[in-house]
Amino acid sequence: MKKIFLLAVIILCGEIFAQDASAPKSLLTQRNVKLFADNLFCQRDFLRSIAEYENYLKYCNDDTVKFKIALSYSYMQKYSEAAAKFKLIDKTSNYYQDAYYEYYKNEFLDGNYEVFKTFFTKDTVTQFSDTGGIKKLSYASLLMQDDKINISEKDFLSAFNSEEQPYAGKFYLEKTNPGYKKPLKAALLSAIVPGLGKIYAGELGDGIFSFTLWGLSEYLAVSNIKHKHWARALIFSGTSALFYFSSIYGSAAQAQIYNAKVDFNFNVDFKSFLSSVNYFLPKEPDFCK
Amino acid sequence: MNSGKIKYIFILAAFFFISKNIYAQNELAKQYEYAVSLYNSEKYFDAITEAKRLAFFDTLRAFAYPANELIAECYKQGGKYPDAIFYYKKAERYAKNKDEIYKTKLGVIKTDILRKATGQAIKLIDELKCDTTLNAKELSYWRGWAYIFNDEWDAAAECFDSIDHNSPLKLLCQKVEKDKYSVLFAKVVSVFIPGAGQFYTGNYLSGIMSLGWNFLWGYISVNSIIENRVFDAAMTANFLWLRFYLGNIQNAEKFAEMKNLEITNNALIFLQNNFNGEKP
Amino acid sequence: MKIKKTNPIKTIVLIIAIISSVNLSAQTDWERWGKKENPYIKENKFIERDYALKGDNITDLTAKLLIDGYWFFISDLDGDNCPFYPTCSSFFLQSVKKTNIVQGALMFGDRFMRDANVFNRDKRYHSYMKGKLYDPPDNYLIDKKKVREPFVFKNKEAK
Repeated sequence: MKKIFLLAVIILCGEIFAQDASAPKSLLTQRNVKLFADNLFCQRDFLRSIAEYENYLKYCNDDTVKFKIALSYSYMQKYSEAAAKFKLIDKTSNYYQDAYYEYYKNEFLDGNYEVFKTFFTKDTVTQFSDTGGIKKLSYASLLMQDDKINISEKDFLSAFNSEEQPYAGKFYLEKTNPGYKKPLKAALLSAIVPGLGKIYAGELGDGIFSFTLWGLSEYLAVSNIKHKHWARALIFSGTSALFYFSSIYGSAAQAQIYNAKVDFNFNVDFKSFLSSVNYFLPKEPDFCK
Repeated sequence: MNSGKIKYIFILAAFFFISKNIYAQNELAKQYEYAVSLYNSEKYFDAITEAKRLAFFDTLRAFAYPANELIAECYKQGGKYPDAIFYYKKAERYAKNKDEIYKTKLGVIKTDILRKATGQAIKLIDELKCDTTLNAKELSYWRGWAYIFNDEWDAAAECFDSIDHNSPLKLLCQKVEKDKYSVLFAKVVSVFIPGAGQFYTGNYLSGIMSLGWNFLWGYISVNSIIENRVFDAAMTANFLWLRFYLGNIQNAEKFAEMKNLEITNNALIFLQNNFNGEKP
Repeated sequence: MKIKKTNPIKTIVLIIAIISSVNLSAQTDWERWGKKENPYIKENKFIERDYALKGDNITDLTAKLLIDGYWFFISDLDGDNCPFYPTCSSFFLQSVKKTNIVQGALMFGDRFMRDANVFNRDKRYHSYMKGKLYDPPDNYLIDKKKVREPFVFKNKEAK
């Protein structure tokens, strides 16, 4: 009995004093890895939670974990990785429906609008039967692209419900009639009166200053010619010519800056609208209540 | 015999339970050592993962202080100063004694110095100084560093002087203060003689050209007035002379500031790369 | 259509972004990082001139030579008069490099006239670089796609 006792003591002590520089195995059991990963996930420490979840998946197949890995990528705004991970989730999984929505949402956020093109084929109606949110998203994707829209306003609005229609209609109108300024028109206006094109392109102050500077150097050129100060006449003729042609060029450039701002503002407004309605899709499951 | 057996079994069972508890503690200690070993091999990101794992499984919070302090140190080494300060403050909440609290506060001070939030660092040092007089020398030392990073070299020299009259840091700070140019002097002399400030800072070519331009436009302006061409005089004086005159003053100021930046940066580079004493 | 100056949705999004940025410290670790020692030295706020004669062809070289002369004899001595970054002369040089001498000259002339307009500058040029209003030549290539939108490029270092 004494021997058994001593042996037991030695074994226990041996376990207590065994030391080496690696993580103790008891913290790396399947269950503990998942517990820790869940904790990291809820702390929004997603890169670390992904690493732990991937480690966990080496031992067992778990759809929840796979879904959470994809969700982690999505939260970190790594949309293409997220989309790829959501696509891998099996049809038999409980999370298939959520993953299906999330896949399209992440492709949309990634700017990969190609995936929505398949919805605009002949059998659109059957495809859209159970995925109203994705139908809306694919119509929304049309507004995010540079190409012209081939769908009539009525068709476009039919995808949305009565609450969303006023917003959708407003964005459709803004996209189809963006109110661009024409660079050629701006240039022509400035050719007639220097600076007029700038006023047309939305920069009143620049227009006035262009006209003033051109006018001043034109006046100085003419008056110096009258007084036969040839050197000065040459300098001011040169600057007035530079100002004249520059204001033509600058007006065209300003029109394009205006247009870029129109596009930018449209994208910001439209994206914040889409995010406020969660891209028309059901909210992703919350694992950290 | 029978009662003896029971005694043995009882002792063994008791030992088993006690050791099981020690075992759990021991596992955590092992985990802490693992995290520290990662820190020592400069794998800071992974060290944080392991320290977080430790903190998560440490339900009794026996390692809450060292784990969070380690995380803070890792972030500091990675140059992620706001995160470092967040975890120092978290560690402070779990500190068990005054020394540990002091250590975390010192960590915040050093991080503040590194991220050049010197005002906050000095404020913290002042607070600590009210608490204790034990570490007065150490606090003066870091106050000196804070002043260095705030470009107050004479104040820094005073701090180091209070620790040791022959401190190499004191000598360095005094030398920097002595070498620095006076921005105000450079500006003022350039107001009176265009180019003089540039000469003071050693930018002779620029000084000569400034003087030349000011002389030329001044001459033309004055000449125009003498010849009764008021419009020309006004134009030259306003658009050319004034422009180069103001440019000359701006340049004197700029050159003095640039030289000072060079002097202080050289000292800072020395401190970062060649200084052997304790650094933040 | 008029461009709206303030948009309620945009404001809300901005406010949310500001609030959430406070407690998103975990974002630091969304990319792996390693040891990084930040330099002690103070950053140089002065715009540094690159006098080196560089250029692929004769027009670029000539333009650079002219500008070097202008910098050396005039611009470096007549004070800090340009509210923009890149400065007018650098703008000219970059424009010539990006396009050709004629278009570059027109872009420069346009910049010169805009430079004279002292009103509403802060509203038009949103972002700053080296303490100056950011106004890159890319915006003036008459190409909508090349316009660097101030909101997007805020805080980003660009050449």
